[in-house]
Amino acid sequence: MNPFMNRQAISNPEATQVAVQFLWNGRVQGIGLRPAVACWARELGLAGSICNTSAGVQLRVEGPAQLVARFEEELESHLPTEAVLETRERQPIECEALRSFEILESDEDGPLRTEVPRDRAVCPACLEELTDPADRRFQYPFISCTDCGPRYSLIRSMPYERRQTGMAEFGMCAECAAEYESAADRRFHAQTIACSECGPRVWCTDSRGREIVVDQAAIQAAAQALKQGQIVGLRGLGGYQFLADARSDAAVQKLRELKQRPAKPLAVMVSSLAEARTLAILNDTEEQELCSPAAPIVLLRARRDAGLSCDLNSGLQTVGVMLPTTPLHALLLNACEFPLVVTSANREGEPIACQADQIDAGLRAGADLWLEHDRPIERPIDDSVVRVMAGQSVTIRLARGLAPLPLPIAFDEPLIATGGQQKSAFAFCNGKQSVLGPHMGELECLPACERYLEQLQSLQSLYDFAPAGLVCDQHPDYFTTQWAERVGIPLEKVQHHYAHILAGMLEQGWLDRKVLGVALDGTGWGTDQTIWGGEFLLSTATEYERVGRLRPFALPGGEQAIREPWRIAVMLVAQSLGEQAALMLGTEVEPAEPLLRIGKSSRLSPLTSSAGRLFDGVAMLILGCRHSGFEGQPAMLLEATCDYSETGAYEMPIHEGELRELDWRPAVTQIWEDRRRGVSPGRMAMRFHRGLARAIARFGSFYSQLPVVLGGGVFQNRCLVELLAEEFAQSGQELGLPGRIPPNDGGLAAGQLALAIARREGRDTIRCV
Amino acid sequence: LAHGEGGRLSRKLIQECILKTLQPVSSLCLNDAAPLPRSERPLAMTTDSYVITPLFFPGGDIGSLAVYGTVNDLAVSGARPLWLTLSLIIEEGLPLAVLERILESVAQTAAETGVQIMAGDTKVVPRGAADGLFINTAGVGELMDPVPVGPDRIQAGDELIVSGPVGQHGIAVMAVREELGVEPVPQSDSGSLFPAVENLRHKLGARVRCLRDATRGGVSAVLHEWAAASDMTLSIEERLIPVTPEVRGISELLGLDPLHIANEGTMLIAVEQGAGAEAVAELQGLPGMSGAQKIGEARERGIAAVTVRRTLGAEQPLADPLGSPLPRIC
Ligand SMILES: [Fe+3]
Ligand SMILES: [Mg+2]
Ligand SMILES: [Zn+2]
Ligand SMILES: [Zn+2]
Repeated sequence: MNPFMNRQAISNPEATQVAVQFLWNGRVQGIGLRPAVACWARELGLAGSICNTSAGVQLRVEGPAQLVARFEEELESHLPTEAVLETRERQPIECEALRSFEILESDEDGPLRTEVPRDRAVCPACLEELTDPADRRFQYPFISCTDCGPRYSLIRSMPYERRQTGMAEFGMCAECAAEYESAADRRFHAQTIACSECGPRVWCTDSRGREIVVDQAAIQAAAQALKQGQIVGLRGLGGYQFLADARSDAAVQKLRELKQRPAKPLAVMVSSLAEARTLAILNDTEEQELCSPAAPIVLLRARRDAGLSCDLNSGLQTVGVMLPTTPLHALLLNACEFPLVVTSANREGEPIACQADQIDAGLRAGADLWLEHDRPIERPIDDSVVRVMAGQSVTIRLARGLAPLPLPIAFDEPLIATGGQQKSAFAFCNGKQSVLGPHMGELECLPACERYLEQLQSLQSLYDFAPAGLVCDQHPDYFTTQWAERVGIPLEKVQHHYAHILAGMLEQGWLDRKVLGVALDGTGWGTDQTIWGGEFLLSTATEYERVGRLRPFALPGGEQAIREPWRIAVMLVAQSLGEQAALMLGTEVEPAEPLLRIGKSSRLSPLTSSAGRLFDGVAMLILGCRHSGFEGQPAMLLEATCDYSETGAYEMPIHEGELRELDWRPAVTQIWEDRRRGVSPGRMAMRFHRGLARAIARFGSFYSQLPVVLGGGVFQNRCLVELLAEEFAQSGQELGLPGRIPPNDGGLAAGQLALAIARREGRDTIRCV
Repeated sequence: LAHGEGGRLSRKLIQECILKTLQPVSSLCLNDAAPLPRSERPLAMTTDSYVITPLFFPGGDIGSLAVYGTVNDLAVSGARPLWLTLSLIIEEGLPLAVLERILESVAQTAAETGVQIMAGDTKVVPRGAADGLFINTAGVGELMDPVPVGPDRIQAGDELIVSGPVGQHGIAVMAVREELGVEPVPQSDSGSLFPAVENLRHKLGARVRCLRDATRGGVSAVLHEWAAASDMTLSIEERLIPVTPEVRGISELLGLDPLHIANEGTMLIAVEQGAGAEAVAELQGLPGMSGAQKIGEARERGIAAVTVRRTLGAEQPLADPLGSPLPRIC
């Protein structure tokens, strides 16, 4: 007992003064937690303070014992719904005879323990004020509150305080300051508080960078340009974007040329959920995702009669839809009254620009008008993409609003996992917490590689650590591998598909179990001189054993075969039906003879067991996809083709052996037959999907005691995932579906980090069977 | 040909064949060592072994390759090639006629490049111990002034020049080896670089920083070596790189980048900033060098050692694959 407290109790038994200190960790910053607590304390007339520290949120409260008790009892119900208290410490302390309750400036020391808050799309309450002529922020494009606004993209350093964000450059006007200080106001301690008097402003420039108009007129000018079918460049939340009328073929075409992105789907932004419903068919989960604070692009089933340009997602039955990210987007959409294509203002493959000078002259001149503002973008971030499969949200691209993603693993030693080559993202543990960082795209071009390293540096300083170890992929030609090898600190390498499975185990919370991992993926470096990508891996958190694979086939000309799936089709047909049939297939496209010859040279044609490549070849056979316009396009088209009324399935037997082999040849033979018989592509596509799902389920039954974990880019395929969910529901075997950690290479780093930590902890070193 | 110590007859055959064929270009003596004339200049010496399937390919054969290769190594080191040695490792069963053709090719190439064959050796090994025929040549030449300084002296701003279309040798060999049956048949660039080097250095003197024949690993391998030696970033532009339509077509079919494909008569040259245009003009005026092009330059070291600006799109790090590049697309 505290002697000081006792003395008080004796002197005034009616009002025993007590003081308590709390230390909280978890999701506690950037969500309005401190103002909410301060409000509650002040309501009870208690004194004390609350403060973000690098150790977590520190709360001290003092006053009459009864009131403090009540404060504690009802505290939970006064916290913002977003708050997650992962650890909480409580201890009585000495009273300091404080008079008021204050939100204190933060101290900063040591590796960051708290979560870095993620960006939040403009909230309904702010949208209402935005369109209310009576409100003092009527049409102010930077309206925000404790519930919404930029966070991650605006933070210079932690803890999350206005003075440590890009808003430090804007002093509050008297009115904003009053709101900020007022416990009763919904902007009490909103770090991004601003108004047209004191906050950031917008203006328009022409394509040569000359300022034309400012404020409201600038937004009107941009809307006008969009209405005329022009391209508008917009300084968004996490970087520059291109906007265009999503209904106009001409505008979309122009945008595609400008971005040098001929085929890849483009997402649209609509003003409201109601409008989204006119473009696509949504289920409840999809609506929730769309309206969530992260406001990602949600891949939805497109309505045919929606009036969108068919050039947005040629041939795919899906459309990527999102709601306004910022009030500025909302104002533009309100002024236009039609859906807008919203995409990053960079050429395909280059990183998103977050400073005006990162946009080269060609791109600058390509947009008719630029809508600029002066709120800094501290951390570039793309839009997130999610897809709902089997009732569950699956992250396809982890970015704005979702990244950095906290991972439920930690270790004392700071570690960095470098991820892969495409859909690059790194993960790290700073010694206190682990996160998966935001998507940074393909590491093919120099600016992308530079951006990757720059972000790695930047997040190290935000989370305050220097790595003591690294973990990377085994592929010697990945940029991330080559970088990791140069750093000169302890490095371990993880097989690509094992990392996919580890990411899935982490997603499910199954790192303490043994699982059957099913990795259906593109091409990854195998350990036997072949390219893997259709693997069955018995896995624990520290070890794996390859127990099965897809029957291998040759990739004539390596990566060239990935760009030209017809080469793969020739190989599949040659193996299944003989070279005569392959030559016949050649007459549909171009002579297959040289390919068959190249296919026999191991030097020129690596062998692969890749499921992604099998999809490519099958898509060519069923749909005639001779070329792939972008990564994964043939598989996407094949999925889009599926006729769900078809109940048949192609045969894919599993051959016994030291390594079980899933044989696709009977399926290819049946496709060949069906083609001749004129069976519709939709039925063939569905039979292929179902055949594969059944084969996987059958493989699973060899290990019926183990849960099955899915990993790899092929599981972005909703049809396949849902068929698998059905198959496993029937067999009763546990199945871990993808979720928050992307099943594609965007999630690799999470799996790599999980392994590095598990090995260091010496956890589960039992050898796999 | 039969193998074995007892195969005195065949040894005699070979020796007669070699001596007869090489007679015009050799001072071969059957003693253990050949005396070399005294030279007033410092000498340079190099050696290389030649292993190639098939032995004959469009534009050359293993014999001409064995002479050009060593002559070129001397030439790019700044030496005038003078003397060669010639060692043959023959697989039992190689037809004598084939050997004769190859030796004729050696003789002809030596005559063309003005080198004397000073010493030689022959071994016949059992079937399977060699692939038809392996050749080793060593070469000695006189260093000429000024001696090129070497890749470690490459500086920011230096200009990079390629002496002709890239990838021809490797593609020609692969086209016959894989029996691609393409028309027109691609030809190897196999040839001597000495005249071009001599002219270029005569004209530009010390402004020529360094030269290298872009053999195994192609232009890319040389760029990576130079980048490592100089600690510079070497950046080139794809649209400037000369590639013949045949090479382009076949490398696309094979999924290979012409920058990674071997050459046998094409070199990379680094010249001082500002000397590029003159060097290119000089080269283009020489026989067989009309395809010479400036392809890029050196700059301060960035995150990648070698970069290439692709025709469409941004600058990319140029891979330095260990073997054949493996797909990275996932
Ligand atoms: Fe992958
Ligand atoms: Mg050599
Ligand atoms: Zn709000
Ligand atoms: Zn204000």
